[in-house]
Amino acid sequence: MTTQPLATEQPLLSVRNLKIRIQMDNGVMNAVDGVDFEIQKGKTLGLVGESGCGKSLTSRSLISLNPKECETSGSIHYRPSDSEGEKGIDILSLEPNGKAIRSIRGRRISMIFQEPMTAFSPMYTIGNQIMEAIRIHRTKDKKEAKQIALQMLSKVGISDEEKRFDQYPHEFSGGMRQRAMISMALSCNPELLIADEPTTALDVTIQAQVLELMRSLQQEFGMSILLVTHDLGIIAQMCDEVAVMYLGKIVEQAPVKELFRNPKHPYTKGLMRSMPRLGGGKEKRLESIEGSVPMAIDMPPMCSFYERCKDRIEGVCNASAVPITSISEDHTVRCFLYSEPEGGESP
Amino acid sequence: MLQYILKRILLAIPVVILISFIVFYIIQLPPGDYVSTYAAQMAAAGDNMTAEEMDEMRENLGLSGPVYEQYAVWIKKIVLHGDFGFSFSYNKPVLDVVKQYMGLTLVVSFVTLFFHYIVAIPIGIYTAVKQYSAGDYFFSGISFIGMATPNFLLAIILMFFSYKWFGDPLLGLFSPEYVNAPWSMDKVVDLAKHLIIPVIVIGIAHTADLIRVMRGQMLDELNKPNIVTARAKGVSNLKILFKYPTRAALNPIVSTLGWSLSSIFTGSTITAIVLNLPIQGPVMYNALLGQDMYLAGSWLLFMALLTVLGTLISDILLAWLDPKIRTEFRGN
Repeated sequence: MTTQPLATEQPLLSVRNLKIRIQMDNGVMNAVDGVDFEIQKGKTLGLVGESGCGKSLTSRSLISLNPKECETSGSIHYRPSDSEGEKGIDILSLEPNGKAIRSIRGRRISMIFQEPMTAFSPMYTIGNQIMEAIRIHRTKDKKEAKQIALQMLSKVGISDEEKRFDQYPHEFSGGMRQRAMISMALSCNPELLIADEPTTALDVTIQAQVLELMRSLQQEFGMSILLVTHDLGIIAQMCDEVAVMYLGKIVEQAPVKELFRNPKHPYTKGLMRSMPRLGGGKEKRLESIEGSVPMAIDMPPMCSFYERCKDRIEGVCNASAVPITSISEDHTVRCFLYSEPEGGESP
Repeated sequence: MLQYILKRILLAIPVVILISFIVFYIIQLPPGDYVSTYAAQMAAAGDNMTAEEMDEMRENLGLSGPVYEQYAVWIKKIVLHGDFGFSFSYNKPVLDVVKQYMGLTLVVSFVTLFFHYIVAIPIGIYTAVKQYSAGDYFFSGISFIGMATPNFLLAIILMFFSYKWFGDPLLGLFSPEYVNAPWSMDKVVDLAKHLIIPVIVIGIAHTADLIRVMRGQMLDELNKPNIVTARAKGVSNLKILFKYPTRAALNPIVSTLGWSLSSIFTGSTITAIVLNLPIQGPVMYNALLGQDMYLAGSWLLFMALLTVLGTLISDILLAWLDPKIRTEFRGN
């Protein structure tokens, strides 16, 4: 689906100028540096980028999960669907671990993680850990909570759920654990599911099953998904919109088909070329992007991809901060290669 | 589970037998025996023993044969008659001496053990949660001092202050008027009062140690992803703290329970001498000095038994605490 989001419908969540700064021994790291995006109701936004680009920090800041060393500014505006016409909630203005944010976590916005083994506590049964969220948000009654948990387990394709309910995480296989994780995240019918590299720790066949499961549950529950990954293949399968992140900034953002058909930013193009594809020819070697991600400490105002960019323009790209340029109505890119013909905003 | 406990108890038997032999062997290693010590004492008092008299005495006390023979006789008596031999210096059966001191030894040891868990675990949790805060530095400082201060020195300092402020150095475990009195409420209160200094002194080093261990464990656990998961579910921080990291951090603490017990037994000797406590430390010390071998051997045997038992208890507790270990039992 590449249909444009209806202009009349308010996005479920909008992030404006999100910045996360971390005080390090050798300076301040601008881990996330002015990120803007919106998540539409019932849609999936993919956040793609290399390790260390700030995508996990960004996703966690949506429910204030980052440690207190992370100094967060900007705005994260969440409009619960049941508060028609109301202004919604600015998540960053809530007390970090206060009641208000806790009533959103797990209930309205929930999260699944990369490593289901360590994300579950080894000390308690799967059932206990799933019921925890249900008993906080849905019912105090233990029996009812158990019923809901059992339903959720069978919904994510775990058979023999009565027995599984009383088992510990180490008695589950990796794929089963991630299914259990999903059932835990969805047990309170959230409006937004944040999936932080949900399939990275799984092998490929299980990966496909888990993604398929997420998609069908999305249709059933009508929730939005923010999918954080480094895998463009998963993005292509799952997402409606994609934001490509590099070193704390979103460098390109577009509907998924547009992005794959018409990538603009040299980094996005590099990512595309480094992706294996069917019929790509045997003798052609996969390309890689040279160099590695620099640390975002004391960066001068210039394109952060400059050092690794093949198309860089000396004296331009390393001279000032890069503005965002619109390629089309819903396709934006942060690169000087496209800012000149438009005339655009000057830096 | 029951099967596992039985298996562990059966396995403990050869361990105890081995320990008993090693203990016996080592005790008689130093040159001379009780008879020569006794003869030296007599000589000091001006009464020289002849070589024949000494041999005769050895014969009477069963000290003439080779080590393994002495050991075999000793063990045979223990197993068949529950007779642990005779204490030469106390001039009564070893079992009577043991009975006299064991009760108070256990009281002091368990109160100390209890004290050090009660104090160390909450402080460990606190210092981990508030890492690098003023409170953390305060308790860390105290615990380093605690670890570095020799027990006997601390004992003397506390006795001094107790004497200065309360007019009583609180030596021993009872005030003189209660030593031979029958048990009563007043005697228990008196004992509790006298326990304060020994428990602090004996417990402080372990407590300090345990605070560090607990703090380190908690810091590990607090950084685990399952904490983030729990937060993402909307669980409150306080509930998370007790449900997840604290529970997991207790495992290594529980698994060292057996060692703690034995180190409290052995670590208390000097303190007990300084504080004049009627517990096993000084008894053991004198028995070794005077080569009162059956008493020393039996005491060590009891201590070994208690340590083995402590380890067994800590293993069972661990199985109860850690589902992974529990699953292994079920698998068996």
